[in-house]
Amino acid sequence: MLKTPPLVWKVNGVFLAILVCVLGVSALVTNQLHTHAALASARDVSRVSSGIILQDIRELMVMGETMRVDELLERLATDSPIYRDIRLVTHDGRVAASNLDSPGTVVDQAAWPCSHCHGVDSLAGDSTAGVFDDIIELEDGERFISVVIPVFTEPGCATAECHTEPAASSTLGVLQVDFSLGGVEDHIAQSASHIRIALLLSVLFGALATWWLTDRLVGRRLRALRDGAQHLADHDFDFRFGHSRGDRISQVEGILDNVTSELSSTISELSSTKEYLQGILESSGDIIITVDPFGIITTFNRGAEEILGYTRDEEVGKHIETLFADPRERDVAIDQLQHTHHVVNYQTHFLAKDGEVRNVILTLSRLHAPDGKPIGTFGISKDVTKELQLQREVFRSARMAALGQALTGIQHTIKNMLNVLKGGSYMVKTALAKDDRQMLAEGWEMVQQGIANMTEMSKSMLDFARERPLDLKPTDLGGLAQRILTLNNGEFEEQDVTLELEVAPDLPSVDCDPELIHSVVMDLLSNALYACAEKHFREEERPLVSIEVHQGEVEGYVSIVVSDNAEGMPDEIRRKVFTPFFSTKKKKGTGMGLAVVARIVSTHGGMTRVESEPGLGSTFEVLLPIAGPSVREEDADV
Amino acid sequence: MSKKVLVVDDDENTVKFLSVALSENGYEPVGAYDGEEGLQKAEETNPDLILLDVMMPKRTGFVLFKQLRRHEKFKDIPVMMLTGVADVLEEDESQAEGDTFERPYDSLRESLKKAIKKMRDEGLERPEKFMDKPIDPDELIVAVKELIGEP
Repeated sequence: MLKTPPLVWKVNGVFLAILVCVLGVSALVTNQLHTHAALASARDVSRVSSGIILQDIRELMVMGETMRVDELLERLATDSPIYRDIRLVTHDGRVAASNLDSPGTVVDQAAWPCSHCHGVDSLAGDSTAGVFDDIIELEDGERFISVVIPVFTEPGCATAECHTEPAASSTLGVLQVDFSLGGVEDHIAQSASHIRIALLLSVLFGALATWWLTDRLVGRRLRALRDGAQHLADHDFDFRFGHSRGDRISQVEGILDNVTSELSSTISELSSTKEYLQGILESSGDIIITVDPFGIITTFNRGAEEILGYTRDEEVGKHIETLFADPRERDVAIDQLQHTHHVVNYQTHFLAKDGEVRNVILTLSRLHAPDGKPIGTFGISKDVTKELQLQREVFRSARMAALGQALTGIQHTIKNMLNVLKGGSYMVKTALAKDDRQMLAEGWEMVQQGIANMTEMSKSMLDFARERPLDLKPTDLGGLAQRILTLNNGEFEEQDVTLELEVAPDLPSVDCDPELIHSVVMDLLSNALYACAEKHFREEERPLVSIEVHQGEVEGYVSIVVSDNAEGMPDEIRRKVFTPFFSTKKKKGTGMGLAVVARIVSTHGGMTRVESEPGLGSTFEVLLPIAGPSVREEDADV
Repeated sequence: MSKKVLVVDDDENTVKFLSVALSENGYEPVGAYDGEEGLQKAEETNPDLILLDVMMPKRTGFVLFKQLRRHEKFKDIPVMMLTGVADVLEEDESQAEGDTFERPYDSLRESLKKAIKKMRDEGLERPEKFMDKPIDPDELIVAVKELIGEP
């Protein structure tokens, strides 16, 4: 690559070019003027000299010493080399006297000087013609000024012996003096050479002066500017240009000073922010790792060192893949990251240095440069190995507790039923012994009741355990609730409990198993009715059970809410209502109703909620997805 | 005058057949269907023995039992508690509390044991007898006789 010449060189080059042009043109003009002036004065002098020569000739002629004219001319030519030739040409074109041509030589009258007065084609002369001259250049390059003075007839000429011209002719001929231009041209050449030298010197001096000036005025300043900028480039933010001269370069320096100050404070802010972030990064107990777009680890914090056992030096520069216990899990995370740009709480496994696998909850986000270009990935992982162990233990305990509770519940329920059966059969036995028909009937009734209770329980248990695929149909839940209301109103009225129904307009139909949802609502209603019957209402209070069907708080769900204003229940009971065999209905319930409700609802992909305020009542809410259960839930059996 | 036995249970069938069994054996049964009614009937009839169900709505058997024990008039009336888990409660308490029992998740037993321990801490006498459900009427009569003698 060509190195760009410095700016000052360019400026100098331009200056020099301008200087050469200007000086060159002036030299040319000067030379032309000088040449012109030299030739003009040579002409003037030639004319004057020619006049004097003619005067001398005329005097000689007037004095009758015609023959001395030749002598004069010869002497003049001999004395001064400036005279190339002095000749006298008669009007009829013959050479009367000449230093070059012999007398009698006839000149070409169509050529100069004859043509000056007579024209080329005509010999008709112009009698008014005076002195004239011209610069003649010969074929060999010799140049001379030829001055021609017409010689007119003087009184007495007609009688002079030297004349052949008729007396009527006013013009005798011409005196032609050829002045050699050799001297003048030498002078001109010398001048031109002087001008060339002067031009060369001026250019040289001008160039030097320009060089010196541009360097002093611009070059040095630019170098200082460059050096200052170099300080900036070398991260020396303490450097300042300082003083100002008020010119453009100073303005640039001022701007650079300001930029440096701002940069300096920004950098110090950045560095404190960086330290702050570094502090957070380092003090975090979680694993924080960043990788570049190629998956190479670029940050490995202390938390990562402590949890995984590797040192930072070991891990930075390695591929992140090596940390995953199962590379497929990494692929899943990366896949998700590519689709959604972040991964939240992805449970995965890291391989620690000691070979142990650590359970971690991983959150990934893409890092982008301000221009949107991906620069890597930021990952923060929480080590949940201990928590998961603990959770597993808790789950196991809870499962055992639930099992224990269920077993106790079953045992309790069975004992209560057996109690009724035992009591009933005792009464039957006693009645038979006493032949007491009344007691027999009562005892028999008790036995029947015991059998009915046991039948109901076994049916509930079957319902709970039974495998039955959902029979999904688009169902109008409002209509379903209305039918239930119609069916049950009588029973509620009998017990003096008001039953209300409120259905929101424009509800979408819900994909569900209407028979099962019917049984769910029925179960909730019967619970509410039982609760109302159990409560001693104050006089101004009326037992009330309401069903509401409306759009669920969760989008895409429809909600069925059954509430009562009965006793409600304390938290410890509320928490257990959906547990199998948990019952507060004493000997009357199987403890399976709400467990079956919860099971049906969850199989529909829905949710069951209960809220209760002791003394004020309970509210059960069933949320069902409008679109029905997802495929996975549908596959499960009730 | 025959001896009065107050039967407190929220299940009317139980009250009914226990009353039959008691009256068949010469005792005079008095029925009550919850704790409140039980206390009221005790006031009215001044029974010789109270059969008390542990789990009842409104006022549990234990709450009623403690009220009775604290009451000057009733504190000496023997009480037989009817429960589904009497087998555990009849065990020696020190042994039962030693966590040697094999069913640690049985919350009903746990809460009953706690209630009994609390009662003892409060200086109250424990119930004279626990009777397990389902109740065998003949066994009941034997136990009643043990506590208050022949009618």
